[in-house]
Amino acid sequence: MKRFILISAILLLACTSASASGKESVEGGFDMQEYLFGHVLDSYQWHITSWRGHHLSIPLPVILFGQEGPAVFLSDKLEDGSSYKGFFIPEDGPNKGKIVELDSSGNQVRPIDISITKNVLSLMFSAVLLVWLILACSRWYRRHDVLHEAPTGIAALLEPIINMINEDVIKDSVGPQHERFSPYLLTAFFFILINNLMGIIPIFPGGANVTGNIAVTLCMAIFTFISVNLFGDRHYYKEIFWPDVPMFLKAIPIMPVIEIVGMFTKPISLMVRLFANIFAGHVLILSVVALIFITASMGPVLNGSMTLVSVLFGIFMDCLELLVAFIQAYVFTMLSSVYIGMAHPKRKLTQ
Amino acid sequence: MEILTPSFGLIFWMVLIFGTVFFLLAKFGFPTITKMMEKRSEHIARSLRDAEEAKKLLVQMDKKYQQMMQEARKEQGELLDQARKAAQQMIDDAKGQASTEAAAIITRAREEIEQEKKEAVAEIRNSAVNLSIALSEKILREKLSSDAAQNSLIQKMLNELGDYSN
Repeated sequence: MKRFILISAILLLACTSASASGKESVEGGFDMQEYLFGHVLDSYQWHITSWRGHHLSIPLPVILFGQEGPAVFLSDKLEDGSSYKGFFIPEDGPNKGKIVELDSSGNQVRPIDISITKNVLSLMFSAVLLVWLILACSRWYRRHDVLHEAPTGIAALLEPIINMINEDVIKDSVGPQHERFSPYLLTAFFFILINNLMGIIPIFPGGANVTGNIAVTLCMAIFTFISVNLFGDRHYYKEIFWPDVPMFLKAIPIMPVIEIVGMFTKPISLMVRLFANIFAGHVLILSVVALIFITASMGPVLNGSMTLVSVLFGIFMDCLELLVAFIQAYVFTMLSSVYIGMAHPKRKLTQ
Repeated sequence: MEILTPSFGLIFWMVLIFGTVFFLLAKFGFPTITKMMEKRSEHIARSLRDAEEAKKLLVQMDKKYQQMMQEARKEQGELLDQARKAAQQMIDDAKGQASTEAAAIITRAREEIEQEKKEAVAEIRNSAVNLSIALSEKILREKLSSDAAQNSLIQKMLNELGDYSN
């Protein structure tokens, strides 16, 4: 409890000083929209902090395939609206914040853009971390006799989680063929979990809103869609195109249409659920912290008290986000398992 | 609406990164771990079953052991009883034999004593005869020291012989 108070006091101090500096740098009020979207959206450089008007950020490689062939350069070349090799970032308009070039008639066009953005770097970092963790765990199992030794180290950390997901979620939901799908489902679970957790850490390798980005959740949903529909057996497809319902429901193809729509709503629901939860979590924490900056111009008493409220509520929100990080990874895995299990209706016979 | 438009670059990298992670983990990571955990849970289940069986066996063995102990104790008692009886028998037999032998020895001794006694009596009688003969010889020698006495005796004997010869 003493430690908790100490940490809160330090945070409070840090935040009040930050708010003081924020007051200096942002004249004429605090731009909430800029602040929020700057934190939750992807960007070409990794912004760490601003100090007295100077931005401290890590430039990241930009990879483009434009009209004049490929171009690779660091993102600091395009800072503050400057142009490099014909590429620039417009301040507003439909392509606001994206790298564009001008075509022959002077219109803004988007080149093929596979830049290593903040989210990509964060993804890479979590991927390396995840691969290292899991391979270290599997190395432990290869080098030790599981029948006579209790797991230690990373294996002891990961085994309960892997066991819980594998036994309670995958085996129960997928059914008899679970061994084919458990590597994918476990990878998906840990991939989402580690990215969720990294997103909660506010400083450098973390803090990117990866699983709260629709592109990432779209990919995850597509992978689940593929593993459901590519490995679905003929009973599954019969259920979709010729289900056991009265004939008139098939003659006017109501049921097949519903079923086909259902094929797509399932991954879409997965995509939106994960995206919305993590995105909302980030926005909530950022809003709570923003209270400090918003009240900075309202006098020291209000600002001080709101800072205390903000820090306490921020701690609470962070704890909640830890829970959400796990729950969303769990839910995604469980629903994917259920969908895969539904694509193998033999399970119904065994029930 | 930038939030809801997935960017191509991120999708590209996401597919690449997730694909790599999935390949690595599905090939070297999770199957090993889940297989080992499966192996262990099977081992634990088997061990539990074995332990249960061992427990049952132990109870059975204990029962058997108790039974055997009881039997052994019973047998021991019987054996002891038998041995005691045999010993008693032997003692009795020995006593009986000893008493008959003793009786035999006594009778034999008695017989011997009788014999000895008879012999002694015979000897005494003998020695008495010899003594009397010697005495009578001496007496005769004394009586027949004169010729007249010898003659009269011879005469007398001849007479007697004559009597016998007649």
